[in-house]
Amino acid sequence: MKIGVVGAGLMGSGIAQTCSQAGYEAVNYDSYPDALTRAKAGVAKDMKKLVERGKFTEEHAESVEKRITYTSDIEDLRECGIIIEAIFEDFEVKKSIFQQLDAMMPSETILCSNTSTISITAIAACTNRPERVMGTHFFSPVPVMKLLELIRGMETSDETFKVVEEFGRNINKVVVNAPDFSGFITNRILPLCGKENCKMIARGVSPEDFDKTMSALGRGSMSAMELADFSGLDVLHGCLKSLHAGLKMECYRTPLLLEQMVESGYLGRKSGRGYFKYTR
Amino acid sequence: MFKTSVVVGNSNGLGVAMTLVLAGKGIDVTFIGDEAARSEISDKAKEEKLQDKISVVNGMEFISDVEVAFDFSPDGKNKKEMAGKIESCIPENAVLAIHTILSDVSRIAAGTKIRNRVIGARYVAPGSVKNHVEITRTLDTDDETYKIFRDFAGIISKDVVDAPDIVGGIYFRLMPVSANMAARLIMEGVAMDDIETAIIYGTNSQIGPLRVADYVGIDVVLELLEEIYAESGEATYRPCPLLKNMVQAGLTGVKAGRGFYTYK
Repeated sequence: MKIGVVGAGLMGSGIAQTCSQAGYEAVNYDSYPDALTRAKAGVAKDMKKLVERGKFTEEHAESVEKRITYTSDIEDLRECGIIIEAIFEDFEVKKSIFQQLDAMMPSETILCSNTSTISITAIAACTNRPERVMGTHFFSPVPVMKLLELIRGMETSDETFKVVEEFGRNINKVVVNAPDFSGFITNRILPLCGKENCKMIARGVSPEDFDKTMSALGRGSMSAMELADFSGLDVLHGCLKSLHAGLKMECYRTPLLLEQMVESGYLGRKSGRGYFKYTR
Repeated sequence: MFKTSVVVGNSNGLGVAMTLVLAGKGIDVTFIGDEAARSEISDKAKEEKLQDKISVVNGMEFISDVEVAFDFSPDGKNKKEMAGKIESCIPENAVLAIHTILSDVSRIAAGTKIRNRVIGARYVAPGSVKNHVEITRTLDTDDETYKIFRDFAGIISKDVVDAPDIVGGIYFRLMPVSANMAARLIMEGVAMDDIETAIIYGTNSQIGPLRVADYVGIDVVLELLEEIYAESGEATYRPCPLLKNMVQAGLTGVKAGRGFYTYK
């Protein structure tokens, strides 16, 4: 079965790479040729690193790159049995692409979305095949992070679910069943902890003291404050905003310190300052 | 040269006492605790051949010449009174370091008469005593007490951090957050294993929030949530009803053989 991936950004490209690494032929579509060039180069770079580290043989790396087709012609997705959409987090944009795919793809084709904030049921309702639509929520970087949250819409059929679950296992992901609500599972808990961590800093605890405390029982590879800076405080900010908007639960309200830091451009490592300062 | 006492030992108190004795800085330690704690620390001291460095006693009349006293008495309605009782047995200029998880430090210190020499010292677990301590200035802790105790705490623990005077301090203010939301997700119909798996693989950890809660104790998690919620009114800490049900049913985790999961 060929796997189609709509969107050649970080997530889409990573999903296509993951599929190919597991032996699937992947078609990575994006309407912007520049995105495709970048995606292809990104995969090539990753393959080179993996060969250098002795994780992949040169043959395997070559075959991974060969199995991914990059295209800006949406018609090239026709042969795919499962299509995974990983484009901009906007309902109207997704609605448009799902309607396009629904119109052109055979009726058995399964359409999945990598959305992290939009209801799968709502996306499915834009099509004439809601029973064949579900959510496949990957984690970045996709080739590395084993978790895959599977989300059924209200009308997703058992058959569709079985096929996608099997696909998830075939690409060596650890699959979990998540409900169709903002945050699914992982992002109901982790951003909440991130938010409470931020509030602790706002009370005057230094990030250094904070990290020392949270590793009192044993240190992980990266401490909580370092990790927050690494992923980007704008990511936490965006997560909390969509959780609060989607669920209207007070516990997801953005803390003032986070608003201040994001508004000031202190987004973490990528902007040279977050909880810690970084020299370029 | 310091003498110190550990009062009403529990497992953290034992950890502090032993670490002090093992630090080899010539500190004489008096340990006061219940029978079980006293016999445990006596055995440990004999093992390390340090039994003459530590006095294990039954009553508080033996601490009238200490310089630093630790109050590890259990949290609860008698905690404030106990702080006052210990204070009355130690010298007026001795530092009194209070360990509490379910309260901020100031409201316990309110049970003492000479407030400026009282300070908070929170240890996360017996196994972390050597690594880390949270020290907390109360409304009245003076600079001299802070400095003396900070230096002393550094003899016991590698990292000494300044923690705000709130229920739970730093660590225990944050620990119940994931357990509470995980319980909430179970109430919403998510499978327990899916929650554990999602967090384990989403964070590259060895253990998920439900098992962590089982190890800490569901009753401890619930008590913490109730106290933090009473202090702050924050929705994050509103105790999930599932946790109440579990505690009422005795499903308090590893120590009961059953919590979210079952343990031999």
